[in-house]
Amino acid sequence: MTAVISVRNLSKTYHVGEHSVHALRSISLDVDPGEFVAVIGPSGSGKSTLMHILGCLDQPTSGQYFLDGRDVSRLSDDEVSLVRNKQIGFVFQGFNLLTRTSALENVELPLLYGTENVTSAERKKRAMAALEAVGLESRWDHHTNQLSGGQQQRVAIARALLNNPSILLADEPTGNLDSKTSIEVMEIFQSLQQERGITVVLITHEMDVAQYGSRIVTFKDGNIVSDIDNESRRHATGELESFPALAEGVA
Amino acid sequence: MGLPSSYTIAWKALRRNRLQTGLTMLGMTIGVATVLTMISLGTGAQKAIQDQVKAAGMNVLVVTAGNYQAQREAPPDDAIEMGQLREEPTFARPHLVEAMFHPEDDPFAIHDHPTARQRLGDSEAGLGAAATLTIDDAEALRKISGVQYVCEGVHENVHVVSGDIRWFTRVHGDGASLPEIRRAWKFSHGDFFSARQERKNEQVTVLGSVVAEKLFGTVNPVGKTITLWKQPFKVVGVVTSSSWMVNPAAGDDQFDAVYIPVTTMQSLLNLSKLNDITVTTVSTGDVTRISKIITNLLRTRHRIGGNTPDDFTVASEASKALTSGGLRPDVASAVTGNVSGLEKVTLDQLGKTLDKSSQTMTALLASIATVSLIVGGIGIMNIMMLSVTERTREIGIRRAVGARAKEVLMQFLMESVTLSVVGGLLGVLVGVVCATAISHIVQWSTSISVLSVVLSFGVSAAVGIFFGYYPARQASQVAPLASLRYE
Repeated sequence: MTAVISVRNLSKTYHVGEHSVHALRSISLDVDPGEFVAVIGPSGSGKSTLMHILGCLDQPTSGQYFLDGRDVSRLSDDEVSLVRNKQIGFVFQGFNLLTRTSALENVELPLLYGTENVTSAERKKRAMAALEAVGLESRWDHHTNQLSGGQQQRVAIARALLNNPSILLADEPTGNLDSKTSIEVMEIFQSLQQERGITVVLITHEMDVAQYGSRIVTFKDGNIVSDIDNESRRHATGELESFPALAEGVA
Repeated sequence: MGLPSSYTIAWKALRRNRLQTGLTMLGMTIGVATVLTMISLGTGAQKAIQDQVKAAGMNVLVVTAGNYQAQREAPPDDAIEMGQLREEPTFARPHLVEAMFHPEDDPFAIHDHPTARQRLGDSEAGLGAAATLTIDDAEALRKISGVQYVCEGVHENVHVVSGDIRWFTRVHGDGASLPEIRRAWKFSHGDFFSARQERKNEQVTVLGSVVAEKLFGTVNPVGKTITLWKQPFKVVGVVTSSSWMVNPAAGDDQFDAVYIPVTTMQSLLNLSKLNDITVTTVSTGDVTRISKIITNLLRTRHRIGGNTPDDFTVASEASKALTSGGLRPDVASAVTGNVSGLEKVTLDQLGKTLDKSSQTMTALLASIATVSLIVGGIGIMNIMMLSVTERTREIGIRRAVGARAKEVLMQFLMESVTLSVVGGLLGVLVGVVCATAISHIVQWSTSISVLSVVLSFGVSAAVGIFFGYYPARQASQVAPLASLRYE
């Protein structure tokens, strides 16, 4: 099986004043389709830098990054925009939704860009389907500030899924959420992986969040220190059932 | 992705911040409204001038019986003019010619009462007093090529009687073509008398609106009978001014007057002469040439030879263009202040002078308006610059989901163009309303041309592109990553 993500000798060096910060020191990594990779490490370990490069939001100083077999580390800005539009779905810690905009319009956003011309009816249909997948179809016309944190993150996931991307990149997706909503979000990720075979790369600094992944990659000082299959994987669905009912409505 | 899509994006983005959008548009609206109002005031003044010049008779020549020239210098009191020495073809010594002395004019007499000249001044010569023109003269003028209308005129004062009401006013005996010459006329009731009624010496009359009001109040006088010189006249029409620039008033010559066919007037009063003949030329540029032809023709007809002066006067109406209202007072005073000897100026020159001063005024107004348009544009630029900083995160989100740099550029450009164009459209609306209101309230003439609307609209779009490009470029250069970190 060809890897969805294939990273070879990737380095990233930032220059802050006269100092050079080596965020990534020649790392190599492969992710197969359908994997749920949790990348864990303390802050400053280079995991966020990796995520930005994997998301084509940043370019490596050296090394190669193959996405679906294509080297995307040296593409032009226009080409890289298209890659982000078609092949990558982002979920951020801060949700990054447009304010004063309905959930539906937020989800539609990727369809406004890209090469194909989508009619507004088609846009709406596809966005509604994505909202349904995260269980928010009834809130489609709510503005983002009328939604709870968990709901906002689910809108963000729906947006990330809209163009059926090759990978779903989640950067600390539960960082702003309480534990129950965190589990709910993790449940969505796990079901997307299991039911739709979507490749998920999750960046976190919390081990218990990383435990939801099928594979855990640990970063330290810009290097991969361990890369193991997760034997004791947590399953969000089961945890939710046993979760005390009092947490309802806290989010 | 095409233009419609980026327009959708821009419109959605603008809707997200309505207050800011509204205020920015307001700046543009005011700018465009000012430009439009100013231009309409300027062109309105120019148009009013043209109308005035035309109404006053750019192409009108009036041939008046008699020859009266305004005296350039005051004559010496009791001048010895009549008694002059003349060389006789005889061998006799020069002698004092017997003079047509009026006793008063005796240079050696000492008067204890003012002489005729002292009493009457210039009116002694009597404009139109000499009755030298005839209907045949008018017929002859009609045959000159380049002449459009010819209208005979006999003028008297008369008591107009209707029932118990008497009104002392002017009576004009005129040809049926008079309404064609008086362009600023309109008939509030009925019509002018016809050429047939003129030929048949019918006793019909057209009332000026002032007379109609004095005699009949608000009642429609058409069909009623009035009495002139104890003769019954049937009223066929009421004439009033079609222009708000000229208000009919008691004592004016046009609307405080009654009009009857010249033939009727001549036969009733047993006249054979005309006071004047009004001639219009087909082309306004022809006035000078035609007036020369008329002079020559009438001199031949009246058998005036050699150096004998004309017994008539051909004049184009000039100073009326300024004396009747409608011009913006600043323009009118600018012209009257700059033109000395208004009577000597031809209408052509007058029109040009008026146009020129009006153009200067328009340029001045337009430059003030342009400043406000630029201020509006800078307002847009300011808001867009702020917007780019404020919305760095939004730009990052859009970039993350796949917006290309040029799509971000297009979005921001579209936003500023939308602001300026929608603002501009509202400005056109406000401008039209303002201009109309000004012409109603202040009574200045305004004129909104399609060109000025298109121009202000185009300028507002251009302002949007010009002032929106730089901020849009800034927006497109925001790095996708930097913008996501930005809080």
